[in-house]
Amino acid sequence: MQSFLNFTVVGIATAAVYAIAASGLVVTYTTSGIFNFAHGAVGMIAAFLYWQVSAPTVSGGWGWPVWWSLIFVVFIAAPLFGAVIERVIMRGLEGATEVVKIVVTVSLLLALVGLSQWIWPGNVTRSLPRFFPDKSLHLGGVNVPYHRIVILIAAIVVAAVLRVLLYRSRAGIAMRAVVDDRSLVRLNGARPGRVSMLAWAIGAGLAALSGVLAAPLQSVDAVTLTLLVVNCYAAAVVGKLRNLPMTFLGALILGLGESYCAAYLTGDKSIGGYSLVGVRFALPAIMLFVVMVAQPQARLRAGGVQRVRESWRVPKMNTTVFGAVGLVVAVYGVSELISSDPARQPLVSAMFFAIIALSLVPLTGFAGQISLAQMSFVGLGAVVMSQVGKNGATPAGVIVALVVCAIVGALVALPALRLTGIYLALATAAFSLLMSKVFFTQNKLVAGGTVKVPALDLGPLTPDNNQGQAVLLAVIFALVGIFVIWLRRGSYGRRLIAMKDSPVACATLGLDLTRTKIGVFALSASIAGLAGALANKSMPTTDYELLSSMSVTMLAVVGGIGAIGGALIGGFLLGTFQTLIPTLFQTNTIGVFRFVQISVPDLMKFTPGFMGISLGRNPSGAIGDIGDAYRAVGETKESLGLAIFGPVALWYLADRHTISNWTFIATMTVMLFAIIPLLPVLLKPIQGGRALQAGAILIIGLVVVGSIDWGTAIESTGIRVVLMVAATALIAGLATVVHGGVPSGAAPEPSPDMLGIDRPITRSDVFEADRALGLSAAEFAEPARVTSQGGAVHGAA
Amino acid sequence: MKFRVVACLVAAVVIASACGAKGADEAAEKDKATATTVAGSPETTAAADAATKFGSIASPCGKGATTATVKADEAGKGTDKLYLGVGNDREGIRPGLLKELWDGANAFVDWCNDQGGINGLQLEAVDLDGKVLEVENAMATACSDVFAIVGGGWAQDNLIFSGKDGSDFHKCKMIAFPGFAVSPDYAEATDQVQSLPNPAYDKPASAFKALAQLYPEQVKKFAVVFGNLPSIVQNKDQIIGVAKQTKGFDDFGEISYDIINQDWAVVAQQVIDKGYKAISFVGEPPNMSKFSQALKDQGYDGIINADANQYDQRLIEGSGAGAVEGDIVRIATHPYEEASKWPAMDQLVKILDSKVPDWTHAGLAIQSFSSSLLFATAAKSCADAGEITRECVLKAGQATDTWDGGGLHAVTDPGKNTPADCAMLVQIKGGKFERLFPKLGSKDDNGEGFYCSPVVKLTGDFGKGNTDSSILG
Repeated sequence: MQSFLNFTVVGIATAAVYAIAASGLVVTYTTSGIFNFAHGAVGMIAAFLYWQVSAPTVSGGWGWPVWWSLIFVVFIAAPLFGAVIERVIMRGLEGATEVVKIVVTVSLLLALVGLSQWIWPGNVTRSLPRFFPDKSLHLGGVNVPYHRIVILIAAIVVAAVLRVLLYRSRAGIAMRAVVDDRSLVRLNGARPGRVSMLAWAIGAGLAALSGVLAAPLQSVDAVTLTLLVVNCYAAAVVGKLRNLPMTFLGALILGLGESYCAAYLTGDKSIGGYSLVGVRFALPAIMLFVVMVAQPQARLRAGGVQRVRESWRVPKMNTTVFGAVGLVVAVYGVSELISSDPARQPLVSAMFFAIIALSLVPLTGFAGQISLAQMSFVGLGAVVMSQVGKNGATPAGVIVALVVCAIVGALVALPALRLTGIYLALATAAFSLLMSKVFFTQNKLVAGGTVKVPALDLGPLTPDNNQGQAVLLAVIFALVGIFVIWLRRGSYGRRLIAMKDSPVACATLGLDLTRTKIGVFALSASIAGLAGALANKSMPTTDYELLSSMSVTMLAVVGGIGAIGGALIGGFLLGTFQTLIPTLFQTNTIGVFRFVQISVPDLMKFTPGFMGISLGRNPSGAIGDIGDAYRAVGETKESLGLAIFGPVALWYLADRHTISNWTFIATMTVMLFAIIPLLPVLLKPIQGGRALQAGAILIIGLVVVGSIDWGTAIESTGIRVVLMVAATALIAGLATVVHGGVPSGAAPEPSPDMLGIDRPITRSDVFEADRALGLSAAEFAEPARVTSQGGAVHGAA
Repeated sequence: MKFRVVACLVAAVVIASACGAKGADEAAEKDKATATTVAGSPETTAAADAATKFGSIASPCGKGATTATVKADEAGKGTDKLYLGVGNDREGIRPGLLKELWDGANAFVDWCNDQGGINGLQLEAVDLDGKVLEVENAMATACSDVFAIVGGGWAQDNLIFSGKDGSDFHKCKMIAFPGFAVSPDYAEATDQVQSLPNPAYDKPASAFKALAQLYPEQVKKFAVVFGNLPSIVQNKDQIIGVAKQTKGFDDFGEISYDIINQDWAVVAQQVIDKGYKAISFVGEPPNMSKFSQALKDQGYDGIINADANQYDQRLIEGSGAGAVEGDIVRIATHPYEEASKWPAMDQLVKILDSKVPDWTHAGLAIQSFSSSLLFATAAKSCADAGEITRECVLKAGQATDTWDGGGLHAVTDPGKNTPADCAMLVQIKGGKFERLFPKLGSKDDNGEGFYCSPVVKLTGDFGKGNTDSSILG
């Protein structure tokens, strides 16, 4: 009994830490409508700042008094930071889809982790003393340090103050009102912008408080402090992300549960050689799933038409097949130019990540759902293949991996599908933690923490070097890409898009949302698992952790998640740029005189995060912009022919060593980013345009760039790359100016999302919608009845 | 990304359990000897520039009568220098990880070059930063750029066996004298020689015997506190395996912790609740400092001890000196704090101070320097005999049966891949490490400040070395 009481006291002390972290999460969600995945990261930055100002000068700090440091960080710096985040990033997300909102906050998390690692490098040990060190209170049989009592008191005070603020003050009511209906608040004379800024300031202050209070108990480490909040998701979900008292109850259950598990589930127990040690540490994740299962089904909200801003065109099948073949040829061609096989590793890596990014295209791009556990599925596929393929990695092993991943994916999605999108994101985050703590720690499966995935046994075609592996992955990417586009063009694809656009309308029309969602999630998981099964390398299980999955999802969305080309860009961002850029620019530094200087490798620590944040401005991702530029090329045979001939000719020259590899890269840069995008303009007469002169400039530019031996003329690789980009921009700019003409361009097609709002619904619209949704002829026998109820149709359309 | 992905780092951490003790009965006699020899080349040391020594041995570095040559197709970047690859993970997701290996190897290279290199052939350290998760890339660099891998190591060192041409340790016919080897794949692989071997099944037991002698009551309630990570779990099993073979130890409790976001009060309460009095902690120094602090909060009166990876200033700085006061670390190297007593250690500290001003005070720098010294000694013997080739250097290294790095650490048998059978205990007192056992000059002291007891052999499955091929055929 004494033992039980002792563990109860310890559990309550643990719960206080969870409560304070979870309450900040809930407050931000309640007052801003955005689930801030970066909440822990804000707390982490605050903890580092607190260390910076309060640590003694001999340790590298500024030596400020503790109380002044605390006030500065929690009440001044953090709220200001929160307000800036709202103004600069979050305000731009108004009307964005839930996926974009999630990805932007995930990106903020990753950017802050990178930023902190640059400002406060981890090669210095930083420790924060506890408040009232060496003092404790004896409760039952346990000594509770004063620091934990401070946390407990802080949690209670926070709860009380928030209750009063949110329900008894005008500011609090305004905050809740802004979440419900921003426009209505504005109509009533309030200033939603300022109210949101206040909400984010309070949220950041709470994050800072939890960071500063938790850091002395944990390490002052970027990842540790950032992930602290992840454990609190379960507590927040108990309160349905909005209810503070229930969130506190959730924290209490979590703290006590953790303590009791420690008391009664001791030792390294195992079943059939599989250790159960990790199950205890997965308690927050398990609790999250349990709570979600217990939640009632979320009501489908038809609160107006969402301003879906992403836009992608679906390519035709022949274009897709053409692109797929082109990709395989291009990957082979590029790999041929690289003489050393290890140097082809970035290409393999890019194609590997491209398949993973592709797994998100149907799930996120088409269905509007999100996963933060893609790397867990990659790991699952890899482990299955490493086990099944011990005596030869046959294609049958790949099938097994696909099936296992699909089943597990469906099971993971099941509890969350009845709920809104944010819950699926949380469920996948929890799944990722569960896998890291329970599955990827099994020595029986991953001896020493490494998964050895054998090469796929294809007889004489077995990829035993990087070139073979890159081509194999390119072929797989191409095939899966064709399959995904085929799916998108079929009725299942239309159902996914319809579900993304309006779940209410789909449900009204009788679509089974749950089955559709489970299907697409299983598909996505199996594509990710496919990448793992074909990895053909030894992978540390740390590759499969939550932050890795977050990075993958973020950069896949940055690439442009609605299109296959976007997945390819995402793959290159993930697999190549992050490795190559720091290497190319190893010795280069970007700076403003001597005031601020940052090396490029350091810059790369947080640049990807900022790329994700930029989605708020351009939700379609990079492929949206790039796709626009290239789409016109495919519209005429002449420009398409030249667009193919140019790169092939350059490749031929490089392959015959007429030009060096660096010169090939330089000329290809000019070809891809200056010449090809301008081809349609040059080949199509435009009034006032001087196509001949502009074309001459492009050709002269290409010849000049091609005549330089870039490899020897410029010593620094960093400068070399910068000059290449500058030359390309100069040539493109000059050609555009000389040409002078502006293409008229076709008027953009009105978005079907706004149908019934910016123009009346016509009979043909209804026919088109029915056909797209795959309804049978019998079902749209009486279209007139629908159109006659114009107003009622609006919501469902 | 990988970030954080912090976890794996802990694997690195376990490493240094490399240090420990070794032992066959007759080896105890050898341990008394201070001279270190490289078998097959006794004349090597004699021929070396007598003006320069390192600790008890003649320096392998000097100008030499004729400039040494290196076999062209094994030379890496070129034959103008001897290019040595130094593994580390310092620019990865955990900045600074294994920087001490980079420090130790660079200090050696500079020190050796100051004397003229190996028979006049200058050395150059090639950075093989594996960034924790990019070890395959580092190995690819090694394959193309270096003659041998020397003095370094990676947390995930089993990734050097990529199986692909150009990035696989065996496929590019590489040899290694690593500062440490973590995975059984590497630690028991062919074509590598460790100055302080860390094989998977032969484990040092002298430090455990010392604990039993000092704390006979406490070790009856022995438990291991370990992180939830495969490499750490394996290390835990090895520690329990050794403890079970050491007289006096009993109970053998197991308490696991989460390597990220563990509330240490819960773990401490488990220890108190079960009444464990002797805890062996496996994990990273910052985690041990938090765990130790949580136990002290509860007025814990047992002992907390750990392997040599905790011989690290970060243990003391993690939560302040008070949190780890009295904690014990098992090491097989001389501590920096006793530099004035041991000439080799005194010399090493001076070299590190002058060559790497910001060197990290951790035991791995000693291992790195010792490995580099072992390599250079072997390479010197080959240079004297004609040409520096991988086969010759490897054979010379494998023929070395007693090695103490000139007096930096307890004697090991690199050739047989046997760890040291002698060790010592250091304890944190007043924010500094100081000798706990054996007392210098006591009957337990082997004359070199270490306590000796035979190495024990473990049973169980701890993996096996990658012996797919060897350059020796």
